[in-house]
Amino acid sequence: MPIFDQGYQHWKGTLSGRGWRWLAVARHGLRGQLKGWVVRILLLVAWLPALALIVALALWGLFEQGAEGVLSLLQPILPPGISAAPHAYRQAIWTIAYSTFFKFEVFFVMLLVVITGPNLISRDLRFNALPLYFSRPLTRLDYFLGKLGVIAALVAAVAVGPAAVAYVLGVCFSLDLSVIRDTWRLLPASFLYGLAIVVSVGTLMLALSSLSRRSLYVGIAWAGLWVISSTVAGVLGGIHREALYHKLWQEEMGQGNTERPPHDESPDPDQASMEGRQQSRAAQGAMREQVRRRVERAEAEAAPTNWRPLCSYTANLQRLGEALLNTDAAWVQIGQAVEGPRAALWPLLGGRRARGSDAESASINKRRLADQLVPQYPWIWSAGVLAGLLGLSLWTLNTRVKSLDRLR
Amino acid sequence: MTSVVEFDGVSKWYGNVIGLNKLTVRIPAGITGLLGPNGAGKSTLLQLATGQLRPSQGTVCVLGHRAWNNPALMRHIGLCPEQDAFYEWMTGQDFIRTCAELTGMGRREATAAAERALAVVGMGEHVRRSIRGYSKGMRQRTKLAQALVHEPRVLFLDEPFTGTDPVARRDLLEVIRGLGETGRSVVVSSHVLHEVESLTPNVILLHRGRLVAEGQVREIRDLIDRHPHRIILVSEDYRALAAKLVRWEDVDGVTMLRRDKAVLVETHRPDAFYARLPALSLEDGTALREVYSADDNLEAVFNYLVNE
Amino acid sequence: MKTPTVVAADAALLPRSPNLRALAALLVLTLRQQIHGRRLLVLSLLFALPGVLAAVVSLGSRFVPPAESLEFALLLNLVPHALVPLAALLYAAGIIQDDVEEQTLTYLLLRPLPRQLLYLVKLLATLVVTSLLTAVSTAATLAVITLVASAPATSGLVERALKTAGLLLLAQVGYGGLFGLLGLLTRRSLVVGIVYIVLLEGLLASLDTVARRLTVMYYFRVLVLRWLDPASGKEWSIDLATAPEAWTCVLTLLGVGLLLATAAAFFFARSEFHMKTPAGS
Repeated sequence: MPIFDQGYQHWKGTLSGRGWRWLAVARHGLRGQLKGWVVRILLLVAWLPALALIVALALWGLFEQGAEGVLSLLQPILPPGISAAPHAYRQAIWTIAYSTFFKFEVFFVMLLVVITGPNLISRDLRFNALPLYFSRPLTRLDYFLGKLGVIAALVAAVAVGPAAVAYVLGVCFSLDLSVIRDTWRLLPASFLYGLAIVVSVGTLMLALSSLSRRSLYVGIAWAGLWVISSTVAGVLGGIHREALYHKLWQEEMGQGNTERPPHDESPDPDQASMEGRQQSRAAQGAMREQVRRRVERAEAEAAPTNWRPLCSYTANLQRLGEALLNTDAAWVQIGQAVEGPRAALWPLLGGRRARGSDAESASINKRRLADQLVPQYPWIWSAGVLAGLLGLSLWTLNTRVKSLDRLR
Repeated sequence: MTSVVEFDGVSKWYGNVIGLNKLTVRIPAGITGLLGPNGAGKSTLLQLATGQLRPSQGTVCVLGHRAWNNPALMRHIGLCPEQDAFYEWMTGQDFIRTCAELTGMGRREATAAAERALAVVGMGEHVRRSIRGYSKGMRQRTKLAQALVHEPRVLFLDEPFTGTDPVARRDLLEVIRGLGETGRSVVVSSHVLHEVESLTPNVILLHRGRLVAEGQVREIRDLIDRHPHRIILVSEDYRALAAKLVRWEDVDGVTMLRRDKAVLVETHRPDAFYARLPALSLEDGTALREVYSADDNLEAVFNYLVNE
Repeated sequence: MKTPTVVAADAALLPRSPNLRALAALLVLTLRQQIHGRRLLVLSLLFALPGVLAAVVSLGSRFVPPAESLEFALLLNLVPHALVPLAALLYAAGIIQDDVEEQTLTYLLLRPLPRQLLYLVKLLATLVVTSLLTAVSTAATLAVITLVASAPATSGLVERALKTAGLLLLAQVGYGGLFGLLGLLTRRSLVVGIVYIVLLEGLLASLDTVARRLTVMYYFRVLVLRWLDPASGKEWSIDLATAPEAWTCVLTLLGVGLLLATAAAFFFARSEFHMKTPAGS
């Protein structure tokens, strides 16, 4: 027929399956977010830690192969135990590199989410777009998964994807397939960690986004959660340390002495002579040092039950990452290599640079680094906090995002 | 006739998009209709006249004073904006009183002015309810009241009939007519052509940022030489009527409207044509039951000018 | 059609001086806007956090710290580091943006209010609200600390409350001026503000470099050290011998806040706001 009807024509194609409808929402959302130059620049900047990870793994690979340039660069700074047998420390070094990488990426994820997340649901509420979604064959679950998909794509782009690429490049630079045997756990751990970040961060941001029609308020709420929770954790830790210091100072000075313990080198004003003042200053200094060491020991002993870091949202995410990557074991292994030379050098160190009691500092404590660098409270506590926030977020979303029959 | 608003060579760009293009127009006192399709530049014109936008080129003067960044002039200007936005948590009375106070009135004076303005727009019993619960018609009246409360000399109404039902629309038309009769100058921007036509014969037509026509509807229509006038004659024996009309020199075209038993005549000389109609009606078989022009109205003028 | 003659400009039509009653009405309107809604409730809960933490720390810990430690940690670290800048960002960045997004700015621009004064009055209202919040929070927190601490502070409660609230108000003037200008300059004021709070005020202010003199936190801390002399002040690594004098810090904070506010006011006066369609669509 030569003449064709220009009017409405029924589409005869095949509809995609029920399970893929969320993808349309995710694709649309992601396309909208990527239009902004701020997001694109932040993505580029967020890939810098990934580059650093790749460089670190590549360097280690070359170091294992005995590349001269790399040997001359790293041997002076690494303990002899590690330089002598780098293959034995491969797993630990890779784990620490990944752990450091994820620490930076959590920061960038929080920043990316504060830029892209507030609009996800708040804009739909503001412009009354929910009826447009739910008048299609789209369920609330599809809507939620689609919106979460936007955040998942961004997290994958800055954290999970680069982690996988870095792994492959690290293996290539090692030229040794036994690397895979030693480090393969890092890949699923990275995926799991990425998934945990997506689920926790994504759901929380979507819940906040559903609470207000103004994206500025949502962004401030997110910033508040991030900044205030971290500050509160630090403040609580500081208060605890101060209280401990105060109590132990009183014990050192004797019972009933409620003088404010000095934190500086202010001399005793009652001492008239120069020599007297110097002696007083030295005595106070020694007492201060003694109290500080006792505080450090007490804090180290209490570390497995220290709940204060749980107040920080990002600290909880990082604790989960440390557990999945098994960073503690990595630092213990590095600690073994570090402690030997340190204990050997201890008698040569003296005077004011010495820290810790002589007996303590001279002994080998392979857990010293791990205790200092990795939080020691059970990771299950952090998982519990994150799970609680997840539950609260899902409840909020369920209440705020109503289906068509319940929309006013 | 004095003009209260003057645009002199005004252009306004939004980046690469031109909103108004070398517009020179003087809006006279009284009620003036501002017409044009979407994107013609009507809202741009109103925002320039009320000092919300700065002209990229040219000057905009209202009551002889520059409009941009001239807060003192706002005492004499009122705008009923298109956007449906309020401080939703306020009551209608509270909102209008606040607007009055913002023009410098004291509390008592503002309360009295608010009551007067709300009475003029017909918002009697609902003024103590929160605006959040108002219907669309009530919201439009409230917007109009805030434009009137400080008794401005010039009123600009941007799409005042949008979303209103026929009853509310009729009431608003009455209010606007009343404002014109009290001596205020009113510029009404609207798509509802027949209602603007019922308000005023003075119109300004914009299209793609340019002035297309200004003046009385009829005068504009007469000036559109390219398009003949279309007149409909209703008669029982419309075919005989058509046969006679075809022979007239000033008739350019004849179309038979079978369903209406009428004849559509196109002519470039409507006055001469009308002058001959009485004699035609007296002839046998051509008695006229009804005569009306199909395009001596704003919509026809609008369509002719915009679709050229 | 005859061309209409233009109405002659009548100078008497336009009064020269701004109407104070109109400005007062604007102040009241802005205060009502700030107080209305959930925003104030959420901020009030946040500013209650220091007091709640003081109570939690004393009840949940074996070692109750002395009052000065609690004050230092809560009122001189938590509040100025986190609560004050976030409150300033929430309110000040939205001084004009809120009205643009709600499309109510039209009603203000259509009133005989000079634009510069319109902005400054709204900023003033913002500072009034945030200052009241801070003052009440400071007093409440100090009261809780006095009740729960193991050792009392060395000076009186009222004197410390007034000094602390005063210092926090100065910090707010600085932040308010800055974030108000930011809200006008960019639609990404939230992100820029957060980056500023985290990186500059959080990190840079703690590093012993010349660059920290660009931060509000530095001058706040110098004033705290000079006027409150906290026991834990050494943590901030500020040498009072080289630090500015107290009144220099006060004038710097006030001056910078005022300068930024004035710049923002003039920027606002020259800006156009398109409210026909909602911002961001």
